[in-house]
Amino acid sequence: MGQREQGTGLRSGHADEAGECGLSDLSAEAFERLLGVLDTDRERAAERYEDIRRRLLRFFRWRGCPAPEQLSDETFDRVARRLAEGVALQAPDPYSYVHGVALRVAHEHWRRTPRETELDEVTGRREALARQAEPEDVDETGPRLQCLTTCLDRLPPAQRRMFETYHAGQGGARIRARQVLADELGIPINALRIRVFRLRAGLFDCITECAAGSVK
Amino acid sequence: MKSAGVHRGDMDVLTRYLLGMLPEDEAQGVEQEYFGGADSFEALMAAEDDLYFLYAEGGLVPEDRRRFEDRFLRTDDDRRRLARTRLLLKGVPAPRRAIPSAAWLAAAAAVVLLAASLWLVRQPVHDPGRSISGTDGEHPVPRTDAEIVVVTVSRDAEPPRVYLPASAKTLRIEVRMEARGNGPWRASLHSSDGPTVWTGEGAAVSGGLRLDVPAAALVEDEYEVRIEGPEGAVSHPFLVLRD
Repeated sequence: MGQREQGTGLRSGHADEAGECGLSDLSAEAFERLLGVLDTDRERAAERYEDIRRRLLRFFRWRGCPAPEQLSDETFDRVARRLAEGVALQAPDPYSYVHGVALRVAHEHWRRTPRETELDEVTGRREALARQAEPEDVDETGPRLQCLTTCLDRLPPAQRRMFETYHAGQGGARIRARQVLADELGIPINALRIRVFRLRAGLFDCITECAAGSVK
Repeated sequence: MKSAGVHRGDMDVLTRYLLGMLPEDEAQGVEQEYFGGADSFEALMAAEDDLYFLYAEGGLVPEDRRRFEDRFLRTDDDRRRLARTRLLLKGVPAPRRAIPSAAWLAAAAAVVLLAASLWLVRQPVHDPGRSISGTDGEHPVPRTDAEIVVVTVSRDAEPPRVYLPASAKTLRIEVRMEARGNGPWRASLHSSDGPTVWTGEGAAVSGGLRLDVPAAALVEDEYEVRIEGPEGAVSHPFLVLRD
């Protein structure tokens, strides 16, 4: 829970710079209570906490909120506060309750900061970002490019074909090619998408490892 | 909660959700279906990853590109992810790589040779140094010492190759389109490792657009020219050869 350790008051009790967003300064006891609701085993509870936090971060990001970390912390703080007040979670999956709280947090955030204002700010930031130089480690040339070839060659033929077919073509032809591939594999198109997603992640891990070795 | 076995039409819904284009009630519907289960949530993650690829290919229309940039290109981490995406795309054999389609280009021309011939005939001044590049690897790339070298790209043609001599001052890229629509068209040129090497506006000419790119900006490499207009975007790869 590394990120949370650096977050706002839930465990540490220190003053919160993001007070304007309604963050509270909850006790370690409240945090423990939250973990207890997630699972009786503390380690599993910590894993559940991280999993929920990961979803919250995505939720706020996908909803276009500019500070997902802050709003995720605020959500957890509210949930923990409810628990401290004696509210019992009825839903079989605690995430459903957390998500409901997150929605309220998002809506309150939008009331404070209209989306149009955010979009203007975002556009300004985006343009500023576009003017910046690429981050130093963005350069994806040289060893990484060579490693791409190496890692592609290491793929089993079926996986390499899946990678290439999935990204080939355009428009309707691409959709049809993906459907044919999914049919060949006997899986739904969305399962194919997930397989390719995992394949790409593994491929990039391989490239990273390979490039690290090649620059030693 | 929906399993990973979602149907094809969901992809459009997921894309619109990720780009913030769904009404609130539908957005909440997506969250209800996809946020609960591990598999279904991963489907959303995969859809997000696919969006990076679509963006990197130039496959989003301008409005969607702006939305994508607002949500997914906000931090250095986001930009690193985009760079990783571009790197992985290099693993897709070039002829098979996507050339994005959009509504305004669905009707775009593919009649390359005929259109190019007509276009050339209509030019008021014939540049003796003109060169129309070969369209595939089976034909030799024309050699020239002209100051203006021309390469024609179109949707249905193989990525062309063009030879740029030291004497060349301008690479003229002719983008063939039957139904061009109204401009303006923002054009950009990207090298194989992703960076933008040139940006400008396309000039409307008979049968398409014309871009004049300083030859000095180009080395021997594979490039991708991207055109963004009010009604969509398109990109075409081509290869530059140097001595």
